[in-house]
Amino acid sequence: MAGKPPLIEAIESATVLIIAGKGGVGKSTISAAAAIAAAGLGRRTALVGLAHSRPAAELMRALGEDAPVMAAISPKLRIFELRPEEILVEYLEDHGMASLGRRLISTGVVSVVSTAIPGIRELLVLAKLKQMERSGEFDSIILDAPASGHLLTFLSSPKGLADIANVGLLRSQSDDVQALLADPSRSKLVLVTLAEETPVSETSQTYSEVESQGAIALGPVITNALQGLTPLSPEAHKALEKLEEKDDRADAYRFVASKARLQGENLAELRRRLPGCRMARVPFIFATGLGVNELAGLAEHLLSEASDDN
Amino acid sequence: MTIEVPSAVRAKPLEGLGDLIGNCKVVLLAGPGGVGKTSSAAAIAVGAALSGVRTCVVTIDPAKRLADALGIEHIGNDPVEIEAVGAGKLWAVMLDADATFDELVVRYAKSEEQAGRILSNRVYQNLTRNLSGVQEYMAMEKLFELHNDPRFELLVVDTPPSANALDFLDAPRRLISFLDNRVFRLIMRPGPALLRPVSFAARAVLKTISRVVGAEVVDEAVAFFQDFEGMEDGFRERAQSVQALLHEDATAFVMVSAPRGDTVSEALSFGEKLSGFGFGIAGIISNRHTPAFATGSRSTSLEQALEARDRDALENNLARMELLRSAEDAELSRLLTELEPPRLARVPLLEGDIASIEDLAQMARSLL
Repeated sequence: MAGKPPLIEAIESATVLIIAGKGGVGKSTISAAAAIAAAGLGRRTALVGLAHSRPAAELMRALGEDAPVMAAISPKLRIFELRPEEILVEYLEDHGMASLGRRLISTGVVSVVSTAIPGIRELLVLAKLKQMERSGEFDSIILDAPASGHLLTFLSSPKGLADIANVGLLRSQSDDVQALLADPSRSKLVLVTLAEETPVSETSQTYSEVESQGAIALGPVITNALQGLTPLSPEAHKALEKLEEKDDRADAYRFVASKARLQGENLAELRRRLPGCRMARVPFIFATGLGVNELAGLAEHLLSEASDDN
Repeated sequence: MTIEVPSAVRAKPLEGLGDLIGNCKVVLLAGPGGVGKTSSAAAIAVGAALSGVRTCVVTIDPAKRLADALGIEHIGNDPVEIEAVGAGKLWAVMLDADATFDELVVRYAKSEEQAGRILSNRVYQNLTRNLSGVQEYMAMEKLFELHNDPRFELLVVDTPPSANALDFLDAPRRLISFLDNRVFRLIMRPGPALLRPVSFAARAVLKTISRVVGAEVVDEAVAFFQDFEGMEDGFRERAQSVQALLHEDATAFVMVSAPRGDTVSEALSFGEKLSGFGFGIAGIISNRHTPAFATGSRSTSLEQALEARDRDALENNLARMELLRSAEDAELSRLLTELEPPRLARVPLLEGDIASIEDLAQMARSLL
């Protein structure tokens, strides 16, 4: 049975998609492409990133470009940059503690508290997501999760907090966020990886850990930057094999072919380790900078790609 | 009269980082995630050991195969000597941040009971796991300890990838200011009567915080700070020594980057922050470059054997690789123009992962 493209399925199955992956796998790019894809499906979409990450800021600028490709999508897409301290102050204001918020900031207590109370920064980000989800203003909320090896810490922070805080607003926030993460119709985790040895082994490990921890339902795994290779005729392959002289075209082809083969092996390994996991593949983009057109191209790809499952 | 030096006349960076290993005692590798920092650190260490320098590489979270290549099986805080590296000697250590922090607490605590109370406090436990920069701080802490170890002539340190670049430089200061915070100090020590009103204000703040986070968290946090009382001095002194070590002439920062747009942007903001802390960049490792293919060689026999369609496919593929290469070069020159590093090592994309000391030695050749 040919399934729906895995990303469409994920977008349609849950409002909040948390896009996560190790640094350098293209997580922010995939987040932006996923947000364009969701908006392209006609959904009111929020792309949420954390402030102070320069690549994220550049992507946001790219999305703000006035390109024709964005004309249909822009009205549906909003971009947010979150700062945990600001969320806390906003939160205190909403709960009638505006003056406390100001005082906490001026005395430097906010930074101490957010350090002393572990997981509070993560919780604040997740609580903001929950608030956006509950507002009903968005059909899709795509979070470009903080790049760190601490995804599990990030996801388990509400639980950790609930364990140490028995009462108070923090407790109720932790509970609400846990409920959001635990409900597969409200949120899903999308892991982004590369078809390289280390990312593959780390991703499958993270996947299994999240699965056994059960804090959040898993969506598809997206493998980014796959090398494309134009197929040659059998005669051409034979000619390349027999070739004894130096030829630039042959060298370049062998290089790309060997990279593609290696990626294929790593992808097969990922499938072997994660049987039953839905997977999407994203091609390598021949550009070092990503503008709106490249992002829209990636979104198009994610929307059209047939499922690539075991 | 000042003379403007046109940018074209600027000194070109030296090829390779080779002179660093003879002249430095500490080489720190820093940069965005996913650029091969850990492999580069290991390769520099192997290269240094091969040239006869007694070297220790400090890594944080190496990939399994790299750890295997180095022969380190377990996380732990004692350097393991690696067999069979040419003439030199090489050690490797895979850092355990939690254990290092615990060791520090035990060292600075005035009694076993105090250490025990802190180690079992939930706020402490969460703090060591979640305080942003703790891992980084512990890397620096370990660095300081190894620096004083006479076995090693050179330390190569792989700094952790971090969402907030350079947390590792800021971490000691942040930890001290955290432990030193005025509000908490006032709560801990009622102090002279003159200060009491402020202390009351602090208590009021705490009380309101309790409304948000729950009284139990606050109690445990207060208990933590009370237990920590008196230990800040040890931590502060140590942090100052670490800072001094980082500023020594024999300490070099090497930035690892890759010629991609987002990576270079991240590396640039990294460089900015680094100079904000008063550190210069001793060199740049630009990793994962697409090799050059266009040399003008065309085989006539291949030419004759190819159908038009196949020829087009091959030509297109070559053209795309050249396009990619020139885009990569443009990214690299963006980095070089901004940061003007005195040294540059350009490393080609490897076909597979690093899986042996030989692989590292090979990478070391293009680095050094």
